[in-house]
Amino acid sequence: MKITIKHIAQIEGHGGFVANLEKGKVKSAQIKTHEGARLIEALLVGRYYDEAPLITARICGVCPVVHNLCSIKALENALGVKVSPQTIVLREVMELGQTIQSHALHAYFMALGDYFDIKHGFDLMKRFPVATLKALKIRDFGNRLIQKIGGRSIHPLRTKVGGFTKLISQEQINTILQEIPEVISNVGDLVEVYKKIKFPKFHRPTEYYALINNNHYTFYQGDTIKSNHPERIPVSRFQHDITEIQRPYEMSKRAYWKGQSFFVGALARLHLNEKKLNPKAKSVLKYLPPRPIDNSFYNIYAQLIEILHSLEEAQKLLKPLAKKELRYPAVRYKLKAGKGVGAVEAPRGTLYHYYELDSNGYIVNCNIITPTVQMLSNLEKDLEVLLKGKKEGEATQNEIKKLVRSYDPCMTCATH
Amino acid sequence: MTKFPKKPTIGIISLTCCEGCQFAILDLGKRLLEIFEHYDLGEFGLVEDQRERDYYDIAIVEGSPITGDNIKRLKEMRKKSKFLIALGTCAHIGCVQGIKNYVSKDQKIKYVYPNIKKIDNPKIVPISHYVKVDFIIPGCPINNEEFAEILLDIKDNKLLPIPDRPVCYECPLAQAGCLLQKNIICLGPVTRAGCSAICTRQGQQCLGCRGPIDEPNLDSLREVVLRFASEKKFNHAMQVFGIQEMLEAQAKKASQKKFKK
Repeated sequence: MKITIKHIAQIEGHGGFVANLEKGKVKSAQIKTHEGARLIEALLVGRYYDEAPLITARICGVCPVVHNLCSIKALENALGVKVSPQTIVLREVMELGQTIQSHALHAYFMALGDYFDIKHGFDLMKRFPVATLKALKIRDFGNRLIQKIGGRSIHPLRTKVGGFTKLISQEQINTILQEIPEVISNVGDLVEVYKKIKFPKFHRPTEYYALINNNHYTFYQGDTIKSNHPERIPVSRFQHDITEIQRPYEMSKRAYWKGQSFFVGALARLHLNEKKLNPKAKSVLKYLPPRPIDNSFYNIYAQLIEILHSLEEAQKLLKPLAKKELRYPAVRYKLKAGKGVGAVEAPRGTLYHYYELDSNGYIVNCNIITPTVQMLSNLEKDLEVLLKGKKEGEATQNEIKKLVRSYDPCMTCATH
Repeated sequence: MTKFPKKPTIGIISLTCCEGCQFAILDLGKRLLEIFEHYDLGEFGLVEDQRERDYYDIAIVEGSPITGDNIKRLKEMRKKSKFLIALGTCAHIGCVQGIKNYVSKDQKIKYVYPNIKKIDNPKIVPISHYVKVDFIIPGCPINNEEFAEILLDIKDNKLLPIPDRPVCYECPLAQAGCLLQKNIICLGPVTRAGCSAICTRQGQQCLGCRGPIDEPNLDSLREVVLRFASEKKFNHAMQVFGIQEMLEAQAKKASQKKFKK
């Protein structure tokens, strides 16, 4: 028996699914990416370094900020540029804005319908008019955070190696701080809807992988950590552990940790950083089953928790900056040859950029490993378990789509 | 201009791209819901499942036709639509993947896919290479304010072309200083405005994502740039959004027209 889903809607980009079952046993379960090859890494080779953050932002329209910042961080590491603590804080807040807007879009508009038999994202408005408007407001706010700091929410403009071309004003920071309490209460209203979700009974133990640091639940900087491997690994070593495989007929690569598949994204971060969540985010943990959850469907609830955490975190980070007008947008630096890795937590998981520069600032080598490339094989393993003993039909197809959407894959990122 | 019925049917599809233009549309939030009340919405891949139609009054296409499936889908969409809009730089010109047109594409594909077998690797072309395009909403990403106005104009049957004037026209209004005067390469003088100079006002150079004005004076811009930068850097600036070929062709056309006069 063959199960084919030509196009899975309500995910970023174009993807489908094909599985082969024999007597209830799953012979194969594969996600198919239908994006064309854009060859971004290859196109960057031979270009001047400062084009990389602009070009790589265009890998993905839903998470351009993380590509842009990850690229900048990798280039700064290659050039030995040390940015100011103020720059780091502003970038962290941009990351939080990205997480809020991406999660609000996915966890609400794309994935929630699966649990209430609503086929079209726009129809959520009819069923949950109040919550839908609040979800829109939350997403708007995430965009505004990015826009006020980065100059534009999609493909930011002010960010560059060394800092910013222009800084957010004191007045804008204060406006943001005034808005946050209401947005936090809006998330509280969404929690009421998510509480009612009956997540499917599903169990497959997996490994969780994310960035971690001592101070906080991190999105911007830290070492990598894996749940079954307590030793922290510096990001600069990622290419030793994570390997990319390219199959001859596939435009999307797959990444493995020493040959194993693993989970990246909100649920992974939650597993590894739970104790560092901010208080309001912690208070809604009670609706989760005991850890480890080992049920990927809960990823969308983890995304909701992260929205709440990110709002509290933005408040915490921006407060000290609100006291006076910001100065010194960027540091100066000199060009030199070098290699550099950058890693950030994208909404969908850990993102890596690697560049090698010559002494004139031109890119000699480049590698980008996106979260979706890392999660696809884990998703396929989940799908194999989900499909055991299933019959072909609409119900099975819907379950497959639901699980795929729980992972929040981004096909445009997968096929950069 | 085409006459549209009262509540026109509309569908939005994407080919290969970052889908940022669809997100820019979504970012209109509540306003988008209000705009769509004037339309009969068919497919909009980002937010819904299975709503394809046999006919569209308006089809909006974002992205580059790269795979065979992309091209097929683009042609199908044209066939069943009365009015087709190219959305964003990918569909209009080529965007960042268009850099490929200025380097060895065989070498580039081997860099990313050493085990390549049957992966489509065509030249990056505007969708107008394959189908007739009736209107262009330019930009990377599009200016969603402009998108909203265009959709409201369409429903009132008063759609007008986007004004033919350069970004330089909008810089003073945006209080953006001239970057060329600071020895930074800027394609503002040859690029169509309508973006409110969003890049230059933030200190970021214009790289021409909205495409050329009707009569770009590329030679004089090149002359200015070559005073402080190399030819290579100038070409690279024109390649970031893949516009070099289109810009040079448009400049050539303009100078021939001038010569005829």
